[in-house]
Amino acid sequence: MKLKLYSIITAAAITLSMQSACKKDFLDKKPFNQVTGDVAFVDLAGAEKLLAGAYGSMYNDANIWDYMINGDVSADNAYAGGDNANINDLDLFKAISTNEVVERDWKGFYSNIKDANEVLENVPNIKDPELDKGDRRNQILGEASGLRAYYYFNLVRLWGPVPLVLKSATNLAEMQAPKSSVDQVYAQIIKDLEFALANTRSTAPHKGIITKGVANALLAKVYATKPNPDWNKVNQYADATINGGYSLFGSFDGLFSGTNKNNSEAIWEMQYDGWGGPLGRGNWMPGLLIGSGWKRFCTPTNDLVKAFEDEGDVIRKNSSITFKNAATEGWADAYWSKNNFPFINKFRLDDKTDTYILRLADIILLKAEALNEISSGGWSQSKALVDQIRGRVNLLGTPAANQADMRLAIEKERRLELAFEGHRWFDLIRTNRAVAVMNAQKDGAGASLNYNITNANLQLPVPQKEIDRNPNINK
Amino acid sequence: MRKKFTLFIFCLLCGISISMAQELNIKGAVKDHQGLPLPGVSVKVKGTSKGAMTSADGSYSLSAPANATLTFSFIGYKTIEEVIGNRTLLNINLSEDNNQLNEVVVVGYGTQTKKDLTTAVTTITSKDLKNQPITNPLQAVQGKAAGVQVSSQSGKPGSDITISIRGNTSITASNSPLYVIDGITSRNANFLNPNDIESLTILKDASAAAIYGSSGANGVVLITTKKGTSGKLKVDFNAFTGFSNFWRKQKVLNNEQYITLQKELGYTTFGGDSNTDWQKETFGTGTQNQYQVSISGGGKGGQYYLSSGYQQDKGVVAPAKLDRYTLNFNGAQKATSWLKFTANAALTSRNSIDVSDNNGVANGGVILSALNTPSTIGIYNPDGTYTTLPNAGGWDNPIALAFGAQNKTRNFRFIGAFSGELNFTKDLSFKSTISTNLNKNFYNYSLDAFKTTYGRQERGIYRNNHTRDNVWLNENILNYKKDFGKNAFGATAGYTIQESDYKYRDYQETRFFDVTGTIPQKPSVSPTIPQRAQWAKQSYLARITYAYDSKYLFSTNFRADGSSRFSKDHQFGYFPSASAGWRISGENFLKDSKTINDLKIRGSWGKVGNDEGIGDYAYMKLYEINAQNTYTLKNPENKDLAWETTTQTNIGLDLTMFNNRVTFTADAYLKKTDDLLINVQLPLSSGFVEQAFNIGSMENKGLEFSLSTKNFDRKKFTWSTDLNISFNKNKVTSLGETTSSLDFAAIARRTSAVRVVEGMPLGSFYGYKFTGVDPKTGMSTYEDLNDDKKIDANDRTFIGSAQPDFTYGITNNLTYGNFGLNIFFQGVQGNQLFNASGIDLEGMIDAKNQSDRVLNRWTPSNTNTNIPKAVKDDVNNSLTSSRFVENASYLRLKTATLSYNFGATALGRLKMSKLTLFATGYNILTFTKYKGLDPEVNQYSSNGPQMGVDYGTYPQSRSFLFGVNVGF
Repeated sequence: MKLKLYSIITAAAITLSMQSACKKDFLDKKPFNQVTGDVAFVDLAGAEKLLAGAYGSMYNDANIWDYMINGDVSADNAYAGGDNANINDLDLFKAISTNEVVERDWKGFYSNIKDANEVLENVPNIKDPELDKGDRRNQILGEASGLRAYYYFNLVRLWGPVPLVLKSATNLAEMQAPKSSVDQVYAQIIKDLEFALANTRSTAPHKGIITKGVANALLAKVYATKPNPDWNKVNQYADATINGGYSLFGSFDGLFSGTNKNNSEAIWEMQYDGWGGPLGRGNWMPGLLIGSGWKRFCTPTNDLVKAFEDEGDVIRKNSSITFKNAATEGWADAYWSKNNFPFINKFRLDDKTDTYILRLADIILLKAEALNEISSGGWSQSKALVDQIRGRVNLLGTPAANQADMRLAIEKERRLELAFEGHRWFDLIRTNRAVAVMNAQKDGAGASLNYNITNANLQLPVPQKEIDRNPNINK
Repeated sequence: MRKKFTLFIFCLLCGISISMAQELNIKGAVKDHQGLPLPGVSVKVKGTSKGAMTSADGSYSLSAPANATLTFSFIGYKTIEEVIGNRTLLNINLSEDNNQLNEVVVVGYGTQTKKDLTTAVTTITSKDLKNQPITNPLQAVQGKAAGVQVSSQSGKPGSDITISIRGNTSITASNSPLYVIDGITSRNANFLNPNDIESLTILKDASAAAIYGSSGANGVVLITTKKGTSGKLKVDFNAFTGFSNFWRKQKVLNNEQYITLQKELGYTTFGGDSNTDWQKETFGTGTQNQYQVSISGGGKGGQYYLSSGYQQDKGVVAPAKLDRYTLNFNGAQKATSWLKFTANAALTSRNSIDVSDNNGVANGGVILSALNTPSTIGIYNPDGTYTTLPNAGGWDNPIALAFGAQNKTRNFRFIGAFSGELNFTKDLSFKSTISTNLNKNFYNYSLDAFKTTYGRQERGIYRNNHTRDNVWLNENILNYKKDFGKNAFGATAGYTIQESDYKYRDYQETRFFDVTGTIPQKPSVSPTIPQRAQWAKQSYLARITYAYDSKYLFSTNFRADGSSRFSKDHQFGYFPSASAGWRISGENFLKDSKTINDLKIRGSWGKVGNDEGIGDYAYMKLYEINAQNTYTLKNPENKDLAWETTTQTNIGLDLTMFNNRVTFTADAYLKKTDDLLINVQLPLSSGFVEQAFNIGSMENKGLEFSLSTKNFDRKKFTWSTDLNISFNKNKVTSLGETTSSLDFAAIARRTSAVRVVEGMPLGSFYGYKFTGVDPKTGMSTYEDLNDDKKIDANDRTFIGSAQPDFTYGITNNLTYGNFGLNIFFQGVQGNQLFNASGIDLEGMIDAKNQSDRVLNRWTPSNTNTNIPKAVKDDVNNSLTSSRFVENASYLRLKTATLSYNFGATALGRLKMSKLTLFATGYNILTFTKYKGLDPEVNQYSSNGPQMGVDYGTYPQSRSFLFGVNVGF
């Protein structure tokens, strides 16, 4: 009798525990908020989410802020300002392989590339017929190609030869990719952009999306930047961009007032709806440049302020730079008096400030440059374009009247027009002017800043972490 | 034989004659050698079944013949026989039994007597845990158990400690032991009230731990909480109060010296005219209070224990604080002669306030801010905002960093178990337990929009996050024990399953004011998505033990573990082990030895597994669903991911000599870990950061010795000494074919301080070899290892190690009459720390105030020095180098406790059974060459690859306490 009771209790306990365990898949645990490809990539919606993820990952340090550090702080437009020693080192050409900004940019761009690669790898295999309605599949692939081209364009401009990763690695050995030559990287960029141009839409719901206009504009820039620029191609793609439905926005200041998002001049624009927005995409850069924290990162240089003033360019100076009295602040600045301290003024909507990656003025001036380079008499055609840009800010036409003067006139025009938009350093490099311009830099009192750079300073060091983890990087 | 028979008859006759003698009512009290009452002592009339049990105050009464003999016996004490001789009052003092061999030791899924153990285990009892200003019971193990290295992360109230048992077996996977609290498994035990713990048993070798299989790779700590004993209700009350401060300060530059340095760097502003001693402002006096009351008792077939405690630890750095409430209950009841139910529950609620450490002043670290903020500035600006360092817009002073934000955590912890035990026969039993381990955490942070730099930038912040983590476990164990003559046979078989569910969600609001910072607005709420993760385990276990005549001892274990963290083909790991012992003292040639009471040699071998540290889904190719409902690839696939296994061989010796006054244990072990689970750091160009692989192997070998001696054992005066010392050598023996190194302990703007490579131990520092200062230029010089006439990353090498040569502890216990004195020293020898704080204190590159050591810096008039010159923004003078590697060996007078036990007469008047007053000093003296605030700190975990870095870490404080233990 007693034995029977034991057996019942034991059996009950065992069955109870077995029941939960022997549910066939007790050891099969599925992740939450994460999916495997076989679940995610079965239809159009999955493809769109993957593409949206690739766009979303753009909103990282490299693209939110460092484009300005690499484009303007490295150049003669801005000092590092602030309190970040890594940025300071970049400003002073002292960055070494352990520089954290250098590392996060390299890492950021390759992470972006991985996300673009995932679209290019997975979307062709999705069997959903909805994907081919209205050619959406090819549009998606085109957009991802455009993204990838842009990231490689940044990598090759900043570092020169870099590993060319075109699909996600599946094992450790594959991840240790060697560098490809600059020419190989440019060939891939052009291939991707041509594919993007052929497959993307002409217009999209907003300017954050890769369109034919973006592809054309990028191709124009790529052909102007690659070793041995092809100015006819630059001209061709600049024309295609200019004729692609864009127009200069009426007022220069209106481009930065914060009230004209996705305006007619914008070709590619980072979209920020703020921390409280539906996407929660906040632009944290403006808070570091200006604001009650007085972080004063990326302070405008004496040289740039002088350039605006020498040109009598009041409109663009005021739209780009604002002077404030910061006398009560506890910090001191090596370059400026605190009583009348310059802050960047192009980002005025705090966390909701959109930033331009490409806008029409850039491409118009690039066309001017192409025309000036294609033939020695091309400067006269260029002048009309340069004057078009100057006219918007009430400046008289450029006095340049030969090819050499026009080169410098365009360089200056681009600087004043596109200050703090991440272009200046790349303009100086591609025109071979970086060393001369930087070594001529003076402080407010006219004393040399002694940058003393050489061609060796024009490229960033490969991050130490890449060197330590990738034995093939320097092979 | 005949002799024995005669004796038997004689006794029998005596018995009869006794029973015929006159009956007396006898009363008395039983106390220990310190005069404390002993409840639960069995008092028997010799030769009869008559007897009584002492009550909570140690008293007893019974009736017995006037010429009878009473036997007083109690576990852990020497049995005493006392002839009544017509007395009616018999007060007895029992002395502790020095022979610990019959002690019952808790082992995995069962108990064993110490003499039958064949594996390496160490037990710490409640007397080592009580009356210390510790919040984590494991802190009390530090220096007490050979082979167990306990290191505090920091001295912050409630800060975690790390325990490594016999070195580090893993690189990425966990190196922490498994805790089993009254049968409930847990990854930590910091929430338990030390006063509720009866004993901690540490299973060190693979054979002991293997019964826990996958979870036992880093050893197992079995925690047994206090239980009630049958008899009268027993009430205990413990309380102490005390204060603490830092035992050391750092000398920094004064106003004038700071301004001189800043001028050399080219600055033109230096703060104001204040003269603030930031260490005095920041490092105050902490206080500690603890109260605990417990009631326990037992009746027919049942017993219970209930305790409640409150502990407060106010840190030396305000407002760091911990308030903790604990409630602990356990009870057991026999329903029938064959069925017994047991329940236990422990609830802990913790409220804590954090101050940020382990960071530089630029990132909000309070400790370094207290050292790096120059005395030239005051705490507040005239407008009420906090001051910032001169020439650095965003570096707030330490008071701003400590008080500017509210940093609060509320934690609730519950563990509970319910079990039923069936005794089929007296040899065969079955026990089924269901337990739950729940952790709920609520963190909230708020920062006003005005006072601090960060607050102004974000225009106010409110953040919170909730974590809910629950693990349930069901264990079903069948036990069989049978003795056949001299053969003792035991078998255990079991089936266990467990499942974990982890949930996390966070919330953030910023921008309470518009861009101007003046007009309030609706704050921005960031979209976030809740996180969730689950794992499950399913295990089969078996053990067979066999002993012949307590001389030849064998034990073998087998456990099969299935883990949801691996793909279908790799889910199950199989972990066998075996051990054997030979009690040489049981052999005839030693049986009658006067010097050797007990001698045993033992050996064991076993395998254990590890599946921690890699996340719950590391084998899958996973796309993350972002807050914008989009996909991004987060984790590449590795279908081959499988168990990390550690194979350990142990040989040991237990020796007891000189009438049990000397006990000696020695162990030697070799641990090899294969298929290391490593989050391999991937080339950044892959687009990924890291991925889990089974790569490489590691080795630990070591020696452990412990010695206990009873130096004096008189009635008035006793003195005993416990000494232990452990040596461990760790080496990474392989990292596989495709991974050459792993770097840890990132140092801002410089190369990482720790590198893992084949052939070197974990915690090896890597960097440049500092060779001094060039007298001509004032710049640091480093060794050009590859002789290429330039110093670059290729000139780095191994420059030190955080691994100690040995760790040790010495405890002396003295009693004189009612006084007791306990003195405990603990030390670590041969290890180094990478003093990353030194980079911030001697770097001389920016507006930070510096250590007074930089007064000896290179200047044109002081060229013969090893402190380089000040160069603004230039890190070349302060690269990750041997300059910042320091000897961190230390010897500490960890605790000294002086106590007084009130004697019987006083207790009788007070109607108490126990009254002890004590004074304790904690971290009283520290002997070290380390220059930082404290040698026992770690910026990161002290038992992982990035051990041994001090970067503004909250130091250990020194405490003095006064307290009382009362029993009724």
